[in-house]
Amino acid sequence: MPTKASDRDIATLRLWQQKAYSDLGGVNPDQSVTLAGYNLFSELVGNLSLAACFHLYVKRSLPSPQVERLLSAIVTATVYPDIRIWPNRAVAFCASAGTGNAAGIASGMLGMEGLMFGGNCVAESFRFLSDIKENEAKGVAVELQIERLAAGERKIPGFGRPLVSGDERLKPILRVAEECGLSNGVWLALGRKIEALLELKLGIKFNVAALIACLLGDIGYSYTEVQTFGTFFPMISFLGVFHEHSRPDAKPVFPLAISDIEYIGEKAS
Amino acid sequence: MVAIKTRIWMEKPVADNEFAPEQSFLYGQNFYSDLAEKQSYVALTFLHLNGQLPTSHQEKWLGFLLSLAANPGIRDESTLVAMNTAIGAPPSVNSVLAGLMARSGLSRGAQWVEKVMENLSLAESQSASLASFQPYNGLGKHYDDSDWRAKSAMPWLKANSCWGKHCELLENNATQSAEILLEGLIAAGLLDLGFSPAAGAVLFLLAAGPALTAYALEQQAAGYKNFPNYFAPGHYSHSGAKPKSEKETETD
Repeated sequence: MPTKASDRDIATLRLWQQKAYSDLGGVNPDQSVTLAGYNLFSELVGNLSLAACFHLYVKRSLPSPQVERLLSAIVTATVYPDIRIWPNRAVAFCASAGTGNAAGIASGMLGMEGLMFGGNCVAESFRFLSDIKENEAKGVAVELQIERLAAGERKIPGFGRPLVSGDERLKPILRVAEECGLSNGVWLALGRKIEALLELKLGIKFNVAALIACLLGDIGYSYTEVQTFGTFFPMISFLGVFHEHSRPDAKPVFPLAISDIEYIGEKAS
Repeated sequence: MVAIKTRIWMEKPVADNEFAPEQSFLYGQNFYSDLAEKQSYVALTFLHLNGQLPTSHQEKWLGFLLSLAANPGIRDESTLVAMNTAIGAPPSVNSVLAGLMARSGLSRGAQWVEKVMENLSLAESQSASLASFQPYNGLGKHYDDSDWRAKSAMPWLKANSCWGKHCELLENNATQSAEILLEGLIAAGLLDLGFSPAAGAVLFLLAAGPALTAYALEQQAAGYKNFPNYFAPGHYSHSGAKPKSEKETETD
């Protein structure tokens, strides 16, 4: 958990007064830029895709072409243009309201920090799988853990979907993972085992969040790295949605009449 | 090395701890033991942005304007954004922040208020006519009708001597097809009170915080099943590839 200045001890504050440090890099006195040990301009520009750039920033190492392709595939498979999806709808409303790009996209991003969809759902799914893995290593069988979970009322991030059954995104992402030789890892094997048990007990299967969590686990991502990727990947759909609905000829976005609202409160005086 | 210069806030440190504040001063007045105790939030808002406390008349006036800005209504885009965000159950602050993003917009949001205030100033100094600044002149239609919210607010403003030259300008330029809008009235009032357009925009924006919170929390508790998803036929259409079955029909 990061710490703001007012929660730090006096010795640390004195040592760091008006100073900061980064493992990631920065601008050098000669105006060159170091990123993760590479010279940004001479080594990276023109040699890095967007997905690879993201991976480099988070892992501080370059991805293999297979990992790069898989990350791109995950982004592509999950960026839906449909504004019936609630965070996309929020972005479209912001566009209608004439906000700037940043404010509009930020409104969509803010909706990603719950457990229902988006990046935090992937991260919490990763945490869920990680806990199961850890307990299994301590001798608690996966079957027993799922048995206990199924008895409780806890929501299980990464499994089931609120509005539709099945997840159309799984097949295309898995196809790319297989082509890249990234579908045989221990995380995905565990995920599938848990899925089989949950389907038996609760009738729920993988949704894309669990799949992404497994695949990222298998390429060596940590919880915070998964969370960071989860923040990144929906952004492209928000950018596109915002751009469409901020055009001067944009159509209305689900406007509501007064009769579309049902008042269930105290009688108005 | 001095990092920042400010007229607004000064702290006196605890002895032997140059980081911990023992006393804090806002424009030279003790904040926690004096101002916060004796002044209302509205008065402190005025003080923050003007460098001096309001008269009781100014305080009442500002309070009324902020109240007018306090609830965008349940059908406004800012409220709908807050509710759409709350559906996914992120931290409640996220839903409100998202709603405030929408409230900040150029389409009768905070940035619109800022432009209207700028244009009212220009029109008042006779640099240009107010009509020439459409749609950023405080006048128009609300859902294609008179703005009954503004009509409800005007009597109090006039009766309480809260009707300054910018409100007057707005009223003099209103026509049947371009009446006074509530947001325009608020913009004119904030200008009459002496706020800059930038400050006025933010006051307008932040006033809606509690209402957006209420809507977000209500919807979050109600859940996604009690919120429109529009997946039933008839609500949403898009251009692009038709589903396979429709293609086969066309081939036939």
